[in-house]
Amino acid sequence: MKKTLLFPLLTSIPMLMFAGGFQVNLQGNKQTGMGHLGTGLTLGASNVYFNPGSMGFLNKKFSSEIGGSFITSEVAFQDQSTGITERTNNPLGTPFYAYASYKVTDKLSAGFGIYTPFGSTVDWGKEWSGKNLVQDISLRAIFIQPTLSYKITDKIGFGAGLNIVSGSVELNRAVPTEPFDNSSVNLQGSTMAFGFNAGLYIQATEKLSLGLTYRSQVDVELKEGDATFDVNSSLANTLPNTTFDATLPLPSTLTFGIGFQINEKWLLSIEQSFVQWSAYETLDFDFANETTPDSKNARNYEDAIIIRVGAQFTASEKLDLRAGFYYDESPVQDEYFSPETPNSDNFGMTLGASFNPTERFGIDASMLYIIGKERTSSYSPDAFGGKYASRSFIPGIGINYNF
Amino acid sequence: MKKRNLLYLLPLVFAVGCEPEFDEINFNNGTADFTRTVALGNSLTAGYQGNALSRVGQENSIPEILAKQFALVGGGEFSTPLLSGEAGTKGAGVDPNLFSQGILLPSLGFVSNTDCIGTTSSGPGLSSAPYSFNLAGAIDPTGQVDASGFYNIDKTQGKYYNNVGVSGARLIHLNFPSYASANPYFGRFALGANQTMLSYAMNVNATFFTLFIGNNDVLGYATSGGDEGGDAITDAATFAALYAQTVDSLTKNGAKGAVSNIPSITSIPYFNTVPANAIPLSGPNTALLNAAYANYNALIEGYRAATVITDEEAALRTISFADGANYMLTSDPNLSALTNPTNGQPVPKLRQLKAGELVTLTLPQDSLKCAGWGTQKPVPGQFVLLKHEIENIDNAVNSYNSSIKSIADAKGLAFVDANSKLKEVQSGLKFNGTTFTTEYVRGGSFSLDGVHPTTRGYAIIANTFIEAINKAYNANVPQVNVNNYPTLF
Repeated sequence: MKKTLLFPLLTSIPMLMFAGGFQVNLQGNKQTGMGHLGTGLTLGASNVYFNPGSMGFLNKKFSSEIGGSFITSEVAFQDQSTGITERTNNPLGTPFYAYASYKVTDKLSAGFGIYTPFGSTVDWGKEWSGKNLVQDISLRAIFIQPTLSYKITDKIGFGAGLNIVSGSVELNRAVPTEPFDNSSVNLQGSTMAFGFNAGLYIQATEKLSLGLTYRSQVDVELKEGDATFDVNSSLANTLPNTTFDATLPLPSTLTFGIGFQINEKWLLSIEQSFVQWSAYETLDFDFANETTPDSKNARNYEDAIIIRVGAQFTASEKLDLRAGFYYDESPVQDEYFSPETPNSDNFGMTLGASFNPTERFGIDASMLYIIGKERTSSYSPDAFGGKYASRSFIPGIGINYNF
Repeated sequence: MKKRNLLYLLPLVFAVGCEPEFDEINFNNGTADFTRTVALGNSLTAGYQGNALSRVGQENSIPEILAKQFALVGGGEFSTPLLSGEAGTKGAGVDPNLFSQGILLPSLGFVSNTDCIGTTSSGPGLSSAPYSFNLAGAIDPTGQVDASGFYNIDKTQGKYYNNVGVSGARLIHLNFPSYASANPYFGRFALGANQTMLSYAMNVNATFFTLFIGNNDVLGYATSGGDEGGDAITDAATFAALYAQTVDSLTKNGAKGAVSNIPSITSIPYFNTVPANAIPLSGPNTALLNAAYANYNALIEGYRAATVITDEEAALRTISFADGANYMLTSDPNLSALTNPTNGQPVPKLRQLKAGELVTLTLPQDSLKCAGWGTQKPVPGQFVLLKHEIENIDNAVNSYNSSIKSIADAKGLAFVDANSKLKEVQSGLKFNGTTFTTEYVRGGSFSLDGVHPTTRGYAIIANTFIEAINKAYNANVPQVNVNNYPTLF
């Protein structure tokens, strides 16, 4: 029985792109319920991710959280000249997180996190009209983060963590090989990469808290990934199976957040992130074999902002209710819009609740609905474009245990 | 087991309300009426490719592609006199000499050839053996006598097909009374020996027509090497008058339509695959050849010194080879006639090709490699287009095209600029991530005959028709995804 339950979930661990670019913002169900904000708040062990500076401000000596989300999402494309509408058939995405935070002393806290802030699974099918750009892509980045946090004063905390990143990508695309039809390539690679995050937390007054965090850019450098070509036998010599190098930058993010405890029942927060997507200039596959033409794909992303607003209502000692909204600006320019990361300006609406039956144990649930604004864009280097729009529905559940 | 299936349904439940939707695109016919359409033209209308008419070519012809798109905005049925059987699958190529013996040629395919040096490589060749058909089919009205599937049209039904594309047809042939007897591609579906292509097309009683004609009025001259071929270019004024008459007839009953200009003949792979400097030389061979032409060159120099010929002509006639790629030796009838003073014989009118001059795809490579063509012997004129011949061709195409444009404008017809589209393909036309060029075979846009488009090439032209029709008639006919059509292999 257990096996049956896990099977459909574990087979689809890769996440679906649904935040800006291929960022996945689902690192804690409490925060997700409030528009995925938490930089200026102290909501639990997930502070390891949201703001390591606030770990020392948690109530308990030990805090932990584990959870995940179930992404169902669809991107649609409409070719304006042929009128054909095509839709992705994305597998269920299941980003997950696990955090633990421990107060070693009153001042010093140590923490650990494992989470998935970047990822994308988009499956357009083998024969769709943009098959020469991408048929399907699955991109994963699992972050492991050991963290230390220090409470400088009663009101100020600072923390920093090391990001150990396990990144992998698999991409299938058709290769135009006139006069032969039906050629394709499978590109696969994985690697380790490193980065860091740091956070400053200020409990300005009893009611007002401020947070500032920075997550560094992580360059996922794939070396000797496998390129497997499926081509007509006449082309086997010019397009043999080979290896490739490619670099995918996971951009840095600077976030500023404010939390305001209006009264015992109501907590409000707003937050703004600045994501330095301009680091993503090009996605180049450099093939080891000389006769295989390198694949250079301009991306030319632009920096983008995310604005989040959220509220929490403490209904009773055992029940918290949450709601939030965010606006996540697309980093993709209209003429460089690739169906591989089909990203529009996103509007996210969230609901959430926590049920805490005992003082130690709680269940956190959230729901996120994202509208990817319709946009008419093309990837001009390949003369492919049309209208795109997306919808995502993402329920999530987690548990927390603190003592 | 059942429980597991239910689990898979879970995401579907979540997905309710998660489908992004778009506004319907308002595709419409504008002021055009596609109730009954007729396509009048030559091989490009018939769907000919790879030196033959085949079923797959016919089914993906420009008019067939257009008709399917027109049908999405209220267009009516469309029919093509399709080949069947062997003729349909292998392709039916007509070589006049073989045809009169009851033999058809299949389409070109890629076959293995061993050249005179013994090197084996793949190249264009007949995809299968020539096959026979029954000549009596030409006069059989039932379409039963010829089992090959070439003469397969049952004319007793009196049916008029909408695709009146006839391979080989020139503009003048549209109103040529006995053309059905002269051209079996028309004879196989014409209803009566004296029916003209134009009167056939008029009988369709179309509300909308496409006219794509004139290519053959200059193509035959070009592919047969220009002046040597004996296939004259239609005079520009005659062309303009005939074209206007044809359009007058087609529009007589109020039909609207689209006319296409003629893509540049000298840009097609047929003339741009074998380079004019296709002769590699090195070391002793270079020296031997230059020694062999020393006396000839001295003779030419003598005429120049005596001002019998200009410096320019002398330079042109001086034969010189160097290590590396060399321009082929050919003969040029336009050179001055000279007599050799020592023996009283005429001096051969030899010269090497110049940059910009063209060689046909059909030039036998073995003759270059092993028979001394282009070095010891001039390449026969039927395989080359000299500068003045290229000018004749380009001038004809330009003047035909300006006539077509002005007639289209005067009649308010959709004007299809196939010539500009070919230029785009020449510099690399991108479509949904595929780049089409005019490169032979690999460019993806031209079939193995180097003259006619591939199915994808035809789809590109069909989209060009749709663009022009949409513009002229304030319509929004959907285009096609070129990459959905078959490649050569």
